[in-house]
Amino acid sequence: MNDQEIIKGLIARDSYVTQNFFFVKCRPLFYSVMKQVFDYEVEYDEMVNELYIYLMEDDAFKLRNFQYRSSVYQWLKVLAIRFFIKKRHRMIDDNSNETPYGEQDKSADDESRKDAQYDMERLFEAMPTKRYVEVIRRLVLEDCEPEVLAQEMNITTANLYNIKRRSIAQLTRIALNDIKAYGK
Amino acid sequence: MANKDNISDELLAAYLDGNASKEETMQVLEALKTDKQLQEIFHVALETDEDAACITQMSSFSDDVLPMLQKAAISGENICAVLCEIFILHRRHLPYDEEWLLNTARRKDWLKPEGTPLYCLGNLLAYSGMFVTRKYDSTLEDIRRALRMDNDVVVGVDREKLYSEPVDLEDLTNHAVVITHIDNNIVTVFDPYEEPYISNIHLSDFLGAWKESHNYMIQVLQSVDEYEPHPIDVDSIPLDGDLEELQEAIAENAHDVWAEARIKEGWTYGKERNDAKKQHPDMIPYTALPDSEKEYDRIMAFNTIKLVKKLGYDIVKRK
Repeated sequence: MNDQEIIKGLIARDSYVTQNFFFVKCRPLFYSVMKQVFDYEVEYDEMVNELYIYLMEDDAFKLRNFQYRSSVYQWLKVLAIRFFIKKRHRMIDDNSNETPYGEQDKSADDESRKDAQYDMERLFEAMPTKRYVEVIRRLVLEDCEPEVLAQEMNITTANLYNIKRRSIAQLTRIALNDIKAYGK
Repeated sequence: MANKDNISDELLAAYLDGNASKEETMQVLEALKTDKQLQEIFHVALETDEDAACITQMSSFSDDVLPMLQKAAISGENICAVLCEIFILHRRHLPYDEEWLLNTARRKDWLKPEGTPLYCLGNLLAYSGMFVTRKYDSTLEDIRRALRMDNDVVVGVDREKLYSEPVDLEDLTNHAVVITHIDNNIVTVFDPYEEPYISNIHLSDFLGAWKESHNYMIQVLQSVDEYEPHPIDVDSIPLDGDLEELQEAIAENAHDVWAEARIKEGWTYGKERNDAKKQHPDMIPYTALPDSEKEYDRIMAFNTIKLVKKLGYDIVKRK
């Protein structure tokens, strides 16, 4: 099943897709997320059922608005983390109208843009794997085509995809450590 | 200043997959500085072992835990393990359909969203009728012996270490390669993602990269006669008192499962084993078995519990 088939099946409440993907394949993912979000024992099935209801509310609004900018799995991971954190704080927002990205206010003043650019360079400096820095610089900052960069690096595009994800993970770890160190 | 409410789940996921634009990436990093919830989301996302196939809790990896859940591939697009198996089919001049094999691996869940777990390496070959053995803690001599017998060998490695590339912070098995030859200090490998596909690797680099998978190798035998069982060594795993009780329960249940299956096949009790009459002296309750027979079930249970621990799981008793 590819991502389109999964999304379609979930929206249609197809019992095979719902059971096999959401309740079986994603079980280890949800379990792992819950384990980290809650420091006390929670009822797994009850929680996942609530997550499913949240996902499907408003005629599966969230699923219908999924734009395939990531894998379904990655998106569900983020959605589940946010849902369980909110759950933990007992402040689930019943309004499921997540602002579609295209409608968001993208404006940011020049000053904060410069700060952000500076911060990013500082994070790059701190990243131990310079190859990862180069991958982010070329793919994200310079918007280089993955096929072109893969050819330059003499690797396949599939492998570049792999390296890209690890690069972002390293960047994010460094950013989190930076926040910890500077107490931001 | 980025507002945390602007960071949608879709954008966060796109960022984590490396698909966010420059502006979006900076927006996320800017928000990360002040948004505590976002910090927690990222922390959990990074720590979440995506396969975590931990239906039970996984212990943190230590040298004594086998990395069965690590992937010989990291991303959904990385199909190195499948390509290695296709290479072997090709080498053996066996007919195959690449698309069909890929679909089969996905359908049977051997190729997971994040890659192929080590314990699924070789499943396509076995499915194609070949005899595949898998083994942790293998030695170079094991590989040499396999190659001498003209068997195919696939190993799990840390790709960065294999090519002496800058090592990232995640030390784990993330790649599969086929070993085609070993000569003194050179290991020749087929790597589906490293053109020209056949590379010579210095032995020390290979050993460093291979170590990450606990020297995991799969061997594709030429004949079933070559099969030699190599159970995982669990001697170093201690069992505490509670688990010894569990051992007895597992042993008794295993006997009942065995007896139930035999009864369904028409077997009954007989003083001596008689396959023609389907009679067996062990078709009695576990409690009535002689100690010598109980011991067989206990050893099986004992090794199973130790194996569970060795593979990185904890066994937790519910209160």
